[in-house]
Amino acid sequence: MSAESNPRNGFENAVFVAGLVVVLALVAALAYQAVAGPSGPADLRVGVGTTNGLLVPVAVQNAGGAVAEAVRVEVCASDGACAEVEVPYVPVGAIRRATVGFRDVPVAPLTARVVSYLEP
Amino acid sequence: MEPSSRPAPTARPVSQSLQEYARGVGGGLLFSLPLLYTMEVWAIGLTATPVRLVAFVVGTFGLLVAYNHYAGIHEAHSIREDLLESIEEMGIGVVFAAGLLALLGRFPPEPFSAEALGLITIEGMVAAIGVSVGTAQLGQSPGEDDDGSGDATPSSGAGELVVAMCGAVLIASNVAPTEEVLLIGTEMTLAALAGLAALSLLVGGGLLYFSEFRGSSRVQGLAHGPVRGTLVTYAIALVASAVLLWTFGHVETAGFTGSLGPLVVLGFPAMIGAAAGRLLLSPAS
Repeated sequence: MSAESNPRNGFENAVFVAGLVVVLALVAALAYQAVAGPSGPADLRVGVGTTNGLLVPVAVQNAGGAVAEAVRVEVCASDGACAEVEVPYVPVGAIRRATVGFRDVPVAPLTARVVSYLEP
Repeated sequence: MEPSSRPAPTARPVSQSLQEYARGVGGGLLFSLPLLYTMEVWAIGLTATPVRLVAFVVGTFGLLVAYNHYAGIHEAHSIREDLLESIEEMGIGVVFAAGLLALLGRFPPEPFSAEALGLITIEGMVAAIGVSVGTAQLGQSPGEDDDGSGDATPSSGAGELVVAMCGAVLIASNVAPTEEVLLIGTEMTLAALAGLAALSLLVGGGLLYFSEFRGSSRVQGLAHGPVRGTLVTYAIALVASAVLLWTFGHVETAGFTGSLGPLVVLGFPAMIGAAAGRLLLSPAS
């Protein structure tokens, strides 16, 4: 049947080459992640940004090899006041940013920690 | 030796190629849009391991090659053409899914991160199946009249099997990523699961052999006769369901024995897809 059909035109060949590049790039990137990507459990690191009044930005980075779900982050001021935020997912290698709000202007220095997370 | 008087085939016009690709994008939209709009699918894209994603790509490629062999975009069904078409469809699916996710604001900020790769892979592969089916099915078949009637030729048993698998994946993949499948499957009693399995067989067999659904006259029966044909189709539906449950991480969540319920629950839409797939997605439909 193929011998009877019309051969591919230049446009179709271009689409094929583009498709091949996309698919190969995707598979190569996935293979690289599988072989050389981080391994082990989630490794969460929390950073605190510059306070903006009552609001404090936080960033959670996952340097581990597994996704963390429902990550609860607590930020505490030096006077003992604390605020929490939950981040739905922190995928491998990703950084998620959030903001927590205090009732009163938080007193520096601020500390942050991960309270809990789920392994999906 | 006298040269052959047969003219050399000319390349397809670009306008025809554009029509085929437009049908592919239409099919991609039609079949993959529910998944592109589903949060659970985004989450699976974020949480799936690279090995699982590579397996998903390889499995999708195999399914596309098999489907294209029996009902592909272009008229040719040589293995070479099947491979070329499948790569085209995967490329279109990936680009289409990535573009739409970006437009919807769901694309991760770092395009080469693990989460972006996972999201694109899951959504892109489902879109590729939609592209393949849409391109093959949304257009006019060669020799088909405007009223849709064509020369309906019976499809082969192997072709029916592939098309049934494609239909099962297409329909069941709309439900498979959701938590509801797990919830329903783990809470149903054994008697209810048995009832659902029986209903799946009844509905599937009815669609295939008794409903006079479009294309049902072409169904040969994979294993000679309605009973065995229905059982084989259900087996295909269960295999498709098992693969989807594993792909979307539900087997780990529910455990091996705990996956029986979700398997039967997902087997119901998969059976409808497999049965309807055999009727609607066949090359001659």
